[in-house]
Amino acid sequence: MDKRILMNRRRVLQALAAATAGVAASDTCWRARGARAAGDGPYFFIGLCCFGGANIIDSFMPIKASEAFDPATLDCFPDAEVLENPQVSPLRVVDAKIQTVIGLDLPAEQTIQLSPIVAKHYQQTMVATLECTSVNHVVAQHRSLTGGGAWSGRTIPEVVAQAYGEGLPLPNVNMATLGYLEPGDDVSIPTWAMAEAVPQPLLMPLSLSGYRGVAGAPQGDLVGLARDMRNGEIDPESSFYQTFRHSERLERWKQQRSHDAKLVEDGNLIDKLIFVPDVPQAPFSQFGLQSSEDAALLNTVFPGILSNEMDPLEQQAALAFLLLKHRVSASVSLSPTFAPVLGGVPELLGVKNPPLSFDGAHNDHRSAQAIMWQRMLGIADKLIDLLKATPFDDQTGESMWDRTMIHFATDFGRSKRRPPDAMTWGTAHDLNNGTVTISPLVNGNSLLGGVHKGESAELDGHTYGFDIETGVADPGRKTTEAEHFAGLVQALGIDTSAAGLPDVPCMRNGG
Amino acid sequence: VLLDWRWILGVLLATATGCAGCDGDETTSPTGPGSGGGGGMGGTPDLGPAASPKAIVRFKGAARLRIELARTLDLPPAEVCKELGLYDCFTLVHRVVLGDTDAFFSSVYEPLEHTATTTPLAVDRVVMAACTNRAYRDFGTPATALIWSDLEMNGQALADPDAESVTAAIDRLYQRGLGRRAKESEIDHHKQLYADIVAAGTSTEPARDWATLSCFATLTSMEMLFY
Repeated sequence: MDKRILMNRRRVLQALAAATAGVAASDTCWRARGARAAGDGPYFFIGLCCFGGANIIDSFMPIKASEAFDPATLDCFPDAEVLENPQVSPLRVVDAKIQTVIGLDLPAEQTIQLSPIVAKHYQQTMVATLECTSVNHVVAQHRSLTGGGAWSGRTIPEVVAQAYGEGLPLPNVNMATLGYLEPGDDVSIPTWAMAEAVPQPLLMPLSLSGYRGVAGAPQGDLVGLARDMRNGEIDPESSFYQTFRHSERLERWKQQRSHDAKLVEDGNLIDKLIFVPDVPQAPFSQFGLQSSEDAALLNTVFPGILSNEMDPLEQQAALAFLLLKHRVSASVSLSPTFAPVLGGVPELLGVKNPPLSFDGAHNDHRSAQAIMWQRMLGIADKLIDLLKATPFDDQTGESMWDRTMIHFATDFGRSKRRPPDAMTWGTAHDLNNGTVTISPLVNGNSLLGGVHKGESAELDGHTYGFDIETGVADPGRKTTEAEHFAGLVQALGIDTSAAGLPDVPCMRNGG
Repeated sequence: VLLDWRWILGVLLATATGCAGCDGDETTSPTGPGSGGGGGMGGTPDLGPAASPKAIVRFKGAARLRIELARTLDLPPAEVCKELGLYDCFTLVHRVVLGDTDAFFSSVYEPLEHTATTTPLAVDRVVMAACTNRAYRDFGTPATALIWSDLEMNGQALADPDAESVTAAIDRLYQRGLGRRAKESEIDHHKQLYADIVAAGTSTEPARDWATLSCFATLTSMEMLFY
């Protein structure tokens, strides 16, 4: 059995306690740094989009069986699987035991641990309950990033890109999919702040030059001559352009061709963003290209990048890091998809990412949620470590992580019940849920809201809201998408007064 | 009756004014809209094509672009562009950024609403690959050249950039790519491009580089990419 999976529980608890003690001592300094940062940008946003519906009561708000009104029919856990230390943190975490994966029996029961990652980052982790407004994947995904259209329909990545991305080559890169990839609805967002879709991160750097790496292509200075002729003479003089000269699409094209894309190409990003070494399946050097100086490091941190079952999420994470490190982007969005990823440990039948990702819960709720939560938290953990080691400003000693927010956006929650005593069951979509955000910018080590438990079979497992000013849990409230959106955007130092959004100080550090 | 006459006069005037814009002969078009050049017959100012009031154009997208490049340059679709010599540009690498969907590999079910920042670079790249391919074939085997044929060479340079064969090659490019003859001004621009390439002094094969870049500039023009 994999020792990584069976990490000693006592060691985890000790780590949690030790980390907590350390934080208690440095808490004042840490909060002060975050508070100073607010409103003083630039800040960076990583949207870790939990495709399919990440259920908060299967990760940070688990219910112990002993607390449930009817544990046999509730999505709850044996008490021993729920880890907490209420004296130092309001957060809980579950190390779930699973017996199946995608409904298939495992050779032996496995433990999917979230606690080591949470123990490492809980000081900067904020869990906030949320009541969303759609159980349709595409609609809900989109609303998770627009706050249900809270600010004229603009997405959080668009807001961040507009605030902190002007002048960057690709302010808003979106490697996610479906509703997470859809643009916002606010037509006033400048085109440069809208998302650049990147479905193939491994080969994406090749689209950052119009000619480099094309075998036999003339040199750059000569290509420039041809472009000058095209842009300055051929196009403006053509009857086609003269006829359609009022076209918005042609105007956009001219702007993109002569300015936006030029910025990308002139930045020589193609050499900075190739995150794999020269390998037979990507022989960059044969085409006059070179890998990033971080390629070896990234392939160590994310070993699945080039493995047999090339892991798209790890590829996205590697590119996300380079986009932020080189100040190419202010916002990057990642997500798994409906597609499964194999190449995992044999104890889990090799399943690294179940089919449908979190939505695999339709088929096998417990294992899909556990494996996907561990997968997403693992990606976040690695990104945090990389960003902590990347200076933002040598003068102040700030790292990139000091200015970054990782938000686990999710479609919706899952239904709370299960067939009596079932260990493998399927769940439906549910409006009721909560989200996780890890950042020095948010109100870390906090649980905003709560979950009903021990009250009734119908109510148990449903989350409730909080006072948006004080953060005090309020069983009579539900957190709206707009409040949630406002809290996150404000934590990123962005003034939302023009949008008329509520002030949500309890979600920001120093708020 | 007076109103009727006024209406008829108005229609006649509008028709006369619009005719310059309706002229399909592009070889007589002015240098730009509203240039005020006195090119028209009988002193009527030639204002160039009238602007479309709706101005609705669409980007061709990956699949159409691939087919048109393959047809224009007589290349097998699978050989139009391959990144790193391995991955098809249109069906895999640049598919989404070129405006197509990719349901199976990327779960992108709807095309992008707008051309993206890197779309012009992806376009340049795929067209550059296709044009390079054609230029290498034509210069490699002149006897079977498709576009760049009958060019008199002086080493790696054109023997006479003003030769009729050069004009004919440019015209072939336009007819195959844009479905029309090249205007005189366009031919002049392409010849000037050759002069500029030679003047730059960085090309060891100026004729082939010119052929590649003439093709590149023409097939990445708005007229080629939008419809």
